[in-house]
Amino acid sequence: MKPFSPFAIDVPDSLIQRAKRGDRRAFEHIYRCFERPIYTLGLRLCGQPSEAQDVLQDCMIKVMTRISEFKGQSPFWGWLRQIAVNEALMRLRRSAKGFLEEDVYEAELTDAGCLLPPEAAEAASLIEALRALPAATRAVMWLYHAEGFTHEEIAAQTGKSISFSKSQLSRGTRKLRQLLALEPEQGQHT
Amino acid sequence: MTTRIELGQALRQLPLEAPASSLWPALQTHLPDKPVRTIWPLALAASAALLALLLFTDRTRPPLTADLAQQVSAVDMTRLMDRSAQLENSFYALQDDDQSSATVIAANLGIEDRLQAIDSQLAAQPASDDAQRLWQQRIELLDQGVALNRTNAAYRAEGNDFDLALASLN
Repeated sequence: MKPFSPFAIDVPDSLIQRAKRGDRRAFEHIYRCFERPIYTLGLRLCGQPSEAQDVLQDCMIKVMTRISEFKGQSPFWGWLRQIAVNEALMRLRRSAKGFLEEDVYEAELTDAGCLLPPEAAEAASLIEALRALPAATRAVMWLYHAEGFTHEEIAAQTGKSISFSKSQLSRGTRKLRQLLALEPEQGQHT
Repeated sequence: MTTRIELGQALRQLPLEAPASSLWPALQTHLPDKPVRTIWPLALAASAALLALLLFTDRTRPPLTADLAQQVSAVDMTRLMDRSAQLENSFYALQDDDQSSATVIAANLGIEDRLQAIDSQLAAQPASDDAQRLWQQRIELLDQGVALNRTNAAYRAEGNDFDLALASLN
């Protein structure tokens, strides 16, 4: 099954070899392919366009200076995405809005609690609701849902526990439903 | 009953965001300073070897049948090389990376890779029987590259998206 991450773009090996030789146009091609996925990740995790731009810039500089470290054992996009995630999480950790919250138990959601009516899934309202979430919660939700990371992977990357990741996901989903003015989930834990 | 959408699917369907302006102009100053193109040296090496062969042909000797055939072939080859050089100039002159999409840049890089493969073969055996065929291939490839970049420029000049036009052909 093809990964659903927006980073999942196949880059020909010949292009990577050219980039390793310092070919400007090969790097430009890589930049153009990944500009939007990196910027979007930065924006969703850090919240501000200026921060997303910094993530994009720092990530690309790392890609350009460290491409010789890419050994081709996994897809190139996965290697590049990990650099982007690390950059975004590092910024988030350094900022006041980082992962400061303690692990707080939050009951897991039922399947019905994760379903949205079509009008709530409309892009503008969903983006607005996402922006209103606490940064750490939004980051966990995005990494889990949009990038397909597991709770174990999110815990390892954020330096928090697996239960923290699960709790943030449940809390974020409930908060998102509130922000989208949806009815409470049946049998919701309060 | 209204069909509901799973939250993860709704998040994945959100459109990708883009920075207000491209960061590439600033980013490229961070590139390591390394030599890049290997096409020119290889092509020049191949051309030089062939030219040397032509120059060292003894022109004072009365032409024999085999020599005559060789000279005719050499003239053909010179024409091919001239045409190739002319197209190569156009191919690079027409490329505008700042205005081209990733698809067009990738296509140009693909053409350069194939040119490099041909040049490597020419450098290895500049005066072989295959040389004429390889130069012909080089010309056809460059012809495609010139056509690609001309069409891309024409679409851009009219404010149209060449990628969309390409996608509609698929």
